[in-house]
Amino acid sequence: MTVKAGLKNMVLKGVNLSIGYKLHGGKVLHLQKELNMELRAGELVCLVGPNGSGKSTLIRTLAGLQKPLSGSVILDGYDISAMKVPEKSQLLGIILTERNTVDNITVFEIVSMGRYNYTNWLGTIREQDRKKISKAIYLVGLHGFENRFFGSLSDGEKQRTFIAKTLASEASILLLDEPIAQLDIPNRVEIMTFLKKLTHISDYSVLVSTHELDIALKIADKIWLIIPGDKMLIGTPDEVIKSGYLDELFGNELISFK
Amino acid sequence: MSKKYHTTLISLLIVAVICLFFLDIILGSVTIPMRHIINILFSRTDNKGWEYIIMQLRLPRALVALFAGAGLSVAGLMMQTLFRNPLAGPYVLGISSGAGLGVAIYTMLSGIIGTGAGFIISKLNYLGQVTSAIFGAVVILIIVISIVPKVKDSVSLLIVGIMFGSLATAVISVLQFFSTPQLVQKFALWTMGSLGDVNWDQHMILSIIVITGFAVAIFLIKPMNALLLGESNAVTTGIEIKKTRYLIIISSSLIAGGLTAFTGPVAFIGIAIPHIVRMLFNSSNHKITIPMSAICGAALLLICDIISQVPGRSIVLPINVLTALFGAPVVIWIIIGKKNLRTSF
Amino acid sequence: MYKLALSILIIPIFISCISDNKNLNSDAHLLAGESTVRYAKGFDIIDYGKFKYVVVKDPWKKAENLFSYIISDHLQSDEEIPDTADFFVNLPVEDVAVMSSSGIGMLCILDERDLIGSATNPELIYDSVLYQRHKRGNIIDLGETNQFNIEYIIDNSPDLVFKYIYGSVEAKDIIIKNAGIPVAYNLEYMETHPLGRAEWLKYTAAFFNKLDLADSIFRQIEENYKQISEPAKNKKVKPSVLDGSIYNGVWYAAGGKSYQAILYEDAGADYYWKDNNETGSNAISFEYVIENQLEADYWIGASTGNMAELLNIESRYKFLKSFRNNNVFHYGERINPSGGLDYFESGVVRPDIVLKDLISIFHPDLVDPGYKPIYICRIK
Repeated sequence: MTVKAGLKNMVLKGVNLSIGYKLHGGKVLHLQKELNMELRAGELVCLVGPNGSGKSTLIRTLAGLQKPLSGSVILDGYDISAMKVPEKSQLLGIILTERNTVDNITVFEIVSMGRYNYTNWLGTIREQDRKKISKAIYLVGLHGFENRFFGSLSDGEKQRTFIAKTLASEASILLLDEPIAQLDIPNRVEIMTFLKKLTHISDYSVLVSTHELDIALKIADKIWLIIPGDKMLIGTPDEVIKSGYLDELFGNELISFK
Repeated sequence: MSKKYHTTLISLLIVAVICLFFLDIILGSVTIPMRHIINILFSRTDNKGWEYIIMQLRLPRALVALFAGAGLSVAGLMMQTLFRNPLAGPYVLGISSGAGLGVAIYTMLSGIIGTGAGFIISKLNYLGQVTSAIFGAVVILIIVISIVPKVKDSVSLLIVGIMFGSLATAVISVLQFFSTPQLVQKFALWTMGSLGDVNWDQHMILSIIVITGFAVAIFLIKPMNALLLGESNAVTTGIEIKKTRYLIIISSSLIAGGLTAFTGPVAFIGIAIPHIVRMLFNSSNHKITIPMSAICGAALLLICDIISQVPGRSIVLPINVLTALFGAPVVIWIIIGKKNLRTSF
Repeated sequence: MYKLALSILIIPIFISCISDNKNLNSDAHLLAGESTVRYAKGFDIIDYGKFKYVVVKDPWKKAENLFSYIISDHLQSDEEIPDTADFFVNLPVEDVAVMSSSGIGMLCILDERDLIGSATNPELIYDSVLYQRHKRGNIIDLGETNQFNIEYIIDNSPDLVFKYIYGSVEAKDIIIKNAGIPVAYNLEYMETHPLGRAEWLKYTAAFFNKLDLADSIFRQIEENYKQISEPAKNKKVKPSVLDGSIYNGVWYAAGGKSYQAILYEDAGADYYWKDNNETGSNAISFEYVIENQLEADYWIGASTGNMAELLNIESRYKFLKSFRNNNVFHYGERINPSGGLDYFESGVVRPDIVLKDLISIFHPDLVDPGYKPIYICRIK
């Protein structure tokens, strides 16, 4: 790998990140300290770790939705805290666990929200927007669902609608917080496989937090394993399995990874 | 829902508003023959009294009904979107109580220190009332906003709003001790609501306030649509949440507070109309709901105003009584009829 | 807030009138131009010969004058008329709309009741002649005093409207004014002397060219008042008085500088708030009343005419000594079938009678043995 290529590939990077929350009375809750990680183009990374280890907080911090306690997040070469909301959202597609969406809004309307930063003040959908929206809907396999109401969709279809929305936004970095937690097993595999496909076909970088260890180990290019009270372990699934930490952290839940 | 259905419905509603507007001018306590009304509206007439009734009483009042119905509904819609709460509205959230408290303080102080000063200062007098109402509305809305993150579900917010209403009532009761029965009564009359107290001069102020608030609302259509995805999703979509939130607060309290100052609190229009619109059009898209709430709200308030005048009789019913008769059942229907309150609008 | 509003609206607006003023009318022999305002602080009448300039002063004392009127029977081409007046009234005034009970009382005493063509709450008028006219449907009903029907007023287009004003001009007033209908505001209730209130009769009379009559009537009233108050004021033993009643949870008692306080003093009573500086009313809690006036001899101005009803309003009234001794009074001796009280109608112009009524309670020895109060009655 050349230096130039490496620079180009490092699309999202955390430098000496400490994550957590400032509490009332000046106290600080540290979830993780001094994390260093980078997400490269064309890479599917799964963020795993025990419950409460700060997976969601890390995603929110990397997405610039929450300030790190210290350290910085570099997006496309710039410090994310200095970037404006529209700039960020053109690069980053973020799907959080929040499902507070109204029921009587159509799939098309939600996906068209992905064009938010490209449309005029009234949000008028032009022909080029319509093409991108249709393409995104087609990619996630919701073709024909355009006028269905969000409230009538299954959980898997809802998740795909939101993925389509981020695809329509032309963001090349996708951060997904627990996208498959609510789904049944066939849907889980299908969504993860689809995300993997995205990294292959068009150099998308995808970061997925999940507690589905088996799927993560099978599909991810790289695993970010949060070890409570310690640094983060970064490596390929094989490397992570060999490290032995999985048994230590998830031993009760899983038989063995060796 | 087909495009054709929407277009038909929209044209029907627009025609209905126009018809109701003229009906509101035609019907009133004093019966004026149709022939004379047309003469008055399009040329001149020999009956000065009737001309005055049409041009100085019914026309401005019908316009106030139009503006207030449209404005309150849009303000209610904006608050429902902002709070993600189907029960939000200027009245329920205590915004009107805030405006009322502002006016109560103003009215009762004015009686003690006196702002009487005849007709020259009476215009200023009205500005004072408007300012105090808007100020009261903004204060309550800011307090509600600061409480919202702490109470996530709609019922709690509703209770908070009711509490603000009671709080305002309590403060007003305390104010009674520093006032006279006449002024307490004067304020009580204000709380019954009245569309007929706005003359052409005040109309200027009222229209500027409502049109400004309305213009902001139209510019907020896009971010408000994003807010339908939920607040976090809206942020990741690219809306500047703080700016949007403040603009919604400012424009909705400008509309609600400004209108309340002139008409007194008009109950339930703001909460009920957005639901009726969403039901009629089966959509939450603000490109539809903003203009259609305005039209439906105007229509409903015009109907209420026509009834409140009790055509042919000397009685004038308080407008609030009628809006409550229409609005309260809608609110009950929302509460018992919907499976999931949080996402069903 | 809603409840508050409703409960206040239920409070009736009392409108009513006296008809037996023949003895006063008979001895009118005053010289023209002698009309000077002596007790009332709220208005002034300046006679310019061709027209009369009437000023209503601001009782809230923010500006000097609240309203001004130019009253004349030949206004059309006169360049000397100051253009500062709020209202121009052309004489003769032939159709009057009355929205104030005191306005009715004054018109009746001036014998101009025939000019009343419309009124708010006409069912509350006490004056028997007017009440009969209302019963026959000959008085246009303008609706509730507080929510009068403005369309009826405009359509009816009276020459003059009599109306109360509280604190500031209402929006509807501006509409009436703009329709070219002059409004004569009744502000006599802000006067601090009972004779000052009665003197507003002159103000009313100015709109009907009856100043001389008003003057003579007022002189008679003044004379009666002074004559009867003299011995009462000199009484050594002064019974204590509790004033007012509970309205909306607050006890409103007349202030120490109000006309009621002066009436009590002139009737030879000891009023609790006599050293107080309030010209209107004091809003106090019931607890305060219990603490300070539990032992008051008389309670004047209760809200209804029935002991049981009073107890219904506030059961703790029974602790008051005046209540236990059946010394509770209210101004309901003259009441019409709908509950309209003459006290608010003719009573405003007849402080001499009101005073005599009070003296008959506090010092019965000072009035004729068979005297029956006109306005006030003991609650049973």
